[in-house]
Amino acid sequence: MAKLFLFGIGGTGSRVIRSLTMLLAAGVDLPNCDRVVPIIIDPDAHNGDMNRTVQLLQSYQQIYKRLGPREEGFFKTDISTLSGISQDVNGSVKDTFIFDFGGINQSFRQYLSYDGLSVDSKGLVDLLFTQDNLESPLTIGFRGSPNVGSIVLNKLVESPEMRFFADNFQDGDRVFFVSSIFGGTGAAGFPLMLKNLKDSNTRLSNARYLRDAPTGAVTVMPYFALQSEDNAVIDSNNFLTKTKAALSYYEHNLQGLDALYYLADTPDTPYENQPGGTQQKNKAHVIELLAALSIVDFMRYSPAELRTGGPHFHEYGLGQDAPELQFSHLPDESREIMAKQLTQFLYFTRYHKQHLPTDKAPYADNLKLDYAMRNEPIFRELNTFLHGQDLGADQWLQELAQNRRSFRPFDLQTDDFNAMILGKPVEKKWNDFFNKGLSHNYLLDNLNKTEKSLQEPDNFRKLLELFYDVTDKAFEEKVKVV
Amino acid sequence: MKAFFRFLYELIGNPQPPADTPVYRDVIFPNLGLLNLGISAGLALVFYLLINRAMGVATFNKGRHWSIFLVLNALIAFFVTIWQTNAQQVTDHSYIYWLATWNAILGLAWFFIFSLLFKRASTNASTTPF
Repeated sequence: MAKLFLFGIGGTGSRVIRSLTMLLAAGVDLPNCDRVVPIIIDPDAHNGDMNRTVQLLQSYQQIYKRLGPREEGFFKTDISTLSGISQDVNGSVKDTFIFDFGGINQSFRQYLSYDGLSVDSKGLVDLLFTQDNLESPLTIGFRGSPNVGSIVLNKLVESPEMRFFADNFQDGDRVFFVSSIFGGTGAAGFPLMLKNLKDSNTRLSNARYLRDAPTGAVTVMPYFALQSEDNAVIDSNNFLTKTKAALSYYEHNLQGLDALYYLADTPDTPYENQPGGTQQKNKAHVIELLAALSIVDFMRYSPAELRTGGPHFHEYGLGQDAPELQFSHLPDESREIMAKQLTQFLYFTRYHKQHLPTDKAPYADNLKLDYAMRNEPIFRELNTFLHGQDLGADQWLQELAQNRRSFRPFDLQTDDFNAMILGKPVEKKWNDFFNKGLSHNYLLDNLNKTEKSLQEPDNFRKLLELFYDVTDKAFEEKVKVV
Repeated sequence: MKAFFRFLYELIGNPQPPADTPVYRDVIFPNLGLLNLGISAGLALVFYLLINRAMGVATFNKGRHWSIFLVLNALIAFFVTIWQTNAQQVTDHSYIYWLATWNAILGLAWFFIFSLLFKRASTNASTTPF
């Protein structure tokens, strides 16, 4: 059972995993793996982006547990916590998606035991770190300082989580890193993690498997700016300088990678300047979605392809530059991976919100939806995943559409299914009075028809299977191509 | 068949005036019975198999839509009785209206029974009326 260990490092790591979770919920295929094991590495335990992603992953996990493995469908890929991959946990690893830093409740100065250092060592520390670095509380991460991050994160390899990860690493498993290059945690964490995993002298078990495992990474270069404030800890004007410095390091020091994806965009409207904590909760951005696609792309290569002529470096180019991206602006390959699945998922979420609670139809009666949606926890979990105020799929699509550059393949305001794909309305034939395209009647008729043909005793599994089949048919018959 | 319909329609009493009893028993009751069965079955087929299956109309399947057909069936049964009695030139008597009302009630029953029979074959009304 091949696994993908996905290390999401820093705030960008969390946000990319959020996008990947949405893609997997939409049914995007992740080949060559049976299970994704996200491990979020962020010392900022209260980071808004991270906690939102963790909630989303937990919700996905609950839904998947009920659905089980299937050939196709929404939520078809298993997502597991690190401790969830083995029965033999021994209590050393918590059942969570977050790497446990054990609460670093101290400043960097205290972490280094600066006051106890020799004069020479203090001199070296003073050379490498500013006073601000030293006084910086580690509770909110490294605040854009990779030099701080590289010290703290270097201890990661000695943690119970890393040992557990290595103990359970098997032949055929893969590793992928998601990080930004212009921040603190990601820029420091990615090369360190890679170095430690691929180190030929590592004390981790299964060292050979780890060394030979197909390994990929996406490094997100600057794609947003931060509002300039006088006392701000992070100055986004330094992002490019930091990126150049990190790239020159990567050029010679990244050993053991099979594929590396680079992504960047020209920043538009600056984000609120929040160095960390609960307030750091940025809107979903298309770059994060494309970074999630790089994970899908990486998994589409066979191990042999990855090893031939590697490492492979990838960059991303839009089919057509535009401030508001629709499907037509994406290259064919990206459309092929996600356009149909996202459209189906949108139809599902919209129908789930607009019609499901009020549908009086055989499919709803047979699934006992009226009762289930009010009383069964798994139905409420699905509702949270789709429509949750902060973490739901609706919110994710809204954020993508509102951000700059925006990803707006759908009209999220309309109730008309025919007009939901921007730039690709469903055509209604003028000479066919009865053809109303993707009407409520069309969807309802197909829901009733398909429900009759599905032999599934569990009403939740049947509901998801039913909507996947119906939205698939709707896409093939009415939309055809985007 | 004649005996069955005679039994069914004389549940409300013997035909009036007594002089017309043979016409009722030999002609009107069988005609009414067969027409009522046929119309009820036809309307149930239209509702369950034509509208809610063949035509793919999925939003005309609620209890209120079914009730429209039920009431329509009763009205047709009522007026078919008036038409039949007029056609057979029986004596004008209040019994005709009692018979028409009874035929309408039977129409309701037939439509309900046919609904139970046909609903399983319907796509969009398989749970209508329940």
